[in-house]
Amino acid sequence: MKHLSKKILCAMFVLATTLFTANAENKLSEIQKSGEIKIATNAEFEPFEYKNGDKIVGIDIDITKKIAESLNAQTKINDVSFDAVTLELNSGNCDFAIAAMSYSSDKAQNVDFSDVYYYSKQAIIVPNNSNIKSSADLDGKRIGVAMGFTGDIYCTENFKNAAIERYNKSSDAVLDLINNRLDAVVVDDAPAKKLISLSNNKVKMLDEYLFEEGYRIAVPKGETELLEHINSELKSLKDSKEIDKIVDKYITDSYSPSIDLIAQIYNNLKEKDRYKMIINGLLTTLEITVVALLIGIFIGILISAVKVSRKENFVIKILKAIADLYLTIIRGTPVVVQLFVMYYLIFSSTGLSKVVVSMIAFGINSGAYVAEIIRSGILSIDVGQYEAGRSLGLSESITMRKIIMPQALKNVLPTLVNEFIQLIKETSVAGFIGVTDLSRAGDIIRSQTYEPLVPLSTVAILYLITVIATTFFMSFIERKLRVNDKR
Amino acid sequence: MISVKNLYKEFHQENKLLRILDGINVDIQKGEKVAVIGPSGSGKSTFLRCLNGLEKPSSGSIFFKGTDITAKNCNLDLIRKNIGMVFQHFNLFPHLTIMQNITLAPVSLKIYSKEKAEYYANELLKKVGLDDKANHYPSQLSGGQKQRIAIVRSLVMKPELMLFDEPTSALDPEMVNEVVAVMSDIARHGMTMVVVTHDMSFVKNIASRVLFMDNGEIILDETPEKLFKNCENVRVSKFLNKLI
Ligand SMILES: Nc1ncnc2c1ncn2[C@@H]1O[C@H](COP(=O)(O)OP(=O)(O)O)[C@@H](O)[C@H]1O
Ligand SMILES: [Mg+2]
Repeated sequence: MKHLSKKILCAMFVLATTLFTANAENKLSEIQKSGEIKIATNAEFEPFEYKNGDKIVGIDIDITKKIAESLNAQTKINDVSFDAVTLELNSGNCDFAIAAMSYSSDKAQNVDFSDVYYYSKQAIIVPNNSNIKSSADLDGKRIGVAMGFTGDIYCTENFKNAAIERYNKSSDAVLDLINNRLDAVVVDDAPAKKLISLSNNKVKMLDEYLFEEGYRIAVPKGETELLEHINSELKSLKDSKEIDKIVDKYITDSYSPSIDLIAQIYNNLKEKDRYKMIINGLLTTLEITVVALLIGIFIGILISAVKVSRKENFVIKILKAIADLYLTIIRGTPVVVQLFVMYYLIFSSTGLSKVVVSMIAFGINSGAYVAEIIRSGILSIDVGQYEAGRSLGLSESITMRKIIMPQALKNVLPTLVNEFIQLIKETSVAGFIGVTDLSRAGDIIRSQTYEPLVPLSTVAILYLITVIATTFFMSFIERKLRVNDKR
Repeated sequence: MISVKNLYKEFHQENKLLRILDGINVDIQKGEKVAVIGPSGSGKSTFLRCLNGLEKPSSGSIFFKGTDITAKNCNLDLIRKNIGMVFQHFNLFPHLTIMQNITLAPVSLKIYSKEKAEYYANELLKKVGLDDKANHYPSQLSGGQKQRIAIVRSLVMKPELMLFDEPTSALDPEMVNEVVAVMSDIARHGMTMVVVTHDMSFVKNIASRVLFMDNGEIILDETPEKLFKNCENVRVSKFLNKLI
């Protein structure tokens, strides 16, 4: 399913970019002019790129900094899902993508690849007591891979009888390996070593490597000048052994995971100021939800007013058709697809931030549900109210605005709060385009510490508190309103 | 003032065609106080609602001061400014104060400024004895008070014609008189009125003319004196006997 939607998105994307992106000037001179180099990556692949507190760090990031230095430019990092890295490149938002990517003919149709800057081997991780001794034993087994990574592509092609489980994060795959849900995990050599040490050595690496691949930087198609500069810079980094130094720095940087709860809490929240990421995530979640609901209420009022209009003229008929189309599309497609369409198609070249795009996407989504809520509120108002308004000579729209809508909104207030509560939880999907909301903040910490208990329960408790507080606030408001009624 | 020609109204209900108004012809002059009586379901409300365009007739035409209000291009909102309507269930706006209920239409339609509308509303409230309720909400009033406010809400627009659909039917008996008193006051000031009612005190004391409706037709069009003294129509006298 994911792969299908990815392909469709790719196809739509190529179409959209050919249609919309004006012929920009050469990226290399653009960088030199602006003094800023914009890269796309997926910061969930330790040790190549990952989050350390609020900062994105890793081997690829250090290499990027070297390239940026050579151009006297600052680095600006755009963190998206791995699926989206090349899409980001095509949208013109970024100068190059660096995300432990290897050459694939599929991708080479849309981007140009640099020379190899690092050779990675695909390691096979198995439980310590596993009877898998070599790659020959893998077919027919349950194999965990990181979705879209080389391990995924290789295993899918070569082990036709295996059950391939695709994960967003290789650390999740290793966790499932420990919990006996998988027989083996195939992942890059460098992160594999780190994952094993993080797992308290409950799993081990086979001596045999599955497949060797070279990591490359991707630039937008046709950016020859930029590509040549990157290649020459990579060559000098390799010649001076600079790259080896960078790799050593990240691979030897490890720590031992803790067993007791207090230490885990300390490690997951206090260490490296990780709690800040959680708090910022919570704020982002609330921001997106509140703005989205406001947009949703605005759209909902318009749509529901059109839907219940008694006018029979041509304009209203057209508006009703549009409203029906909107309701059908929004309620008939998953919100995550709507989010992707907004981010990668509609707003791809506008430079709007991910958070803003999320607000718009969730707002438009919520509008459809709010419209139905408000419509039911309108229908619950006695028709006599409408007739009294019209009898006084008020137009349909004034009657709607001044008489029907205020009463309808008051009636549906509790249902609107439910929609808000629904939305708080739904916005966790924003992580798919790389928004660090509450859910993703927990995910990121989990992928760093390899300890799911504290980040997951912290996130869950924070959601719960938000929802309970909202409910409490609502019943307070409702009591207030009822007092007003009786006055 | 009003001229109704060949008015028909039909509803489709469960594949059946219900004829609610069956060829109504009537002229109403300025200053007349017309009572419309008749058995329940005879089409009185439908007839009344046609007069201000709340109900669209199936065929026929209605002229208000020479304008055909059933015509497609007729601006009903303009017509309705001149026609007040009072409903059986008051239909006050529960989310607005009494003052806001009264001034909403004239202010929204820019007939008066807010200050002027409030001043005029206060005058009318004093007349119906409810000026102390201006800042109350409808839910705080009794039925009789609500109906008096509903009348004021129409009057503030200075209409030339007032329509009443059973204005006292939803009231407790002891509240009927306060509403009838207000209506009688309006009548004395020369207002043209069409009143659907079962209240015989209105018919006897205020009405200048009575229409009796049955099965969508006006089967009797008389002065109240004649109606009560010598009624030859069997159905009408049966109906009246039941009421009195
Ligand atoms: N919108 C409607 N659809 C179908 N039937 C209706 C509608 N409105 C009124 N009627 C029917 O028309 C008949 C006359 O109604 P009405 O004019 O309210 O009578 P009255 O006011 O004399 O009691 C009733 O039988 C009622 O059921
Ligand atoms: Mg009636």
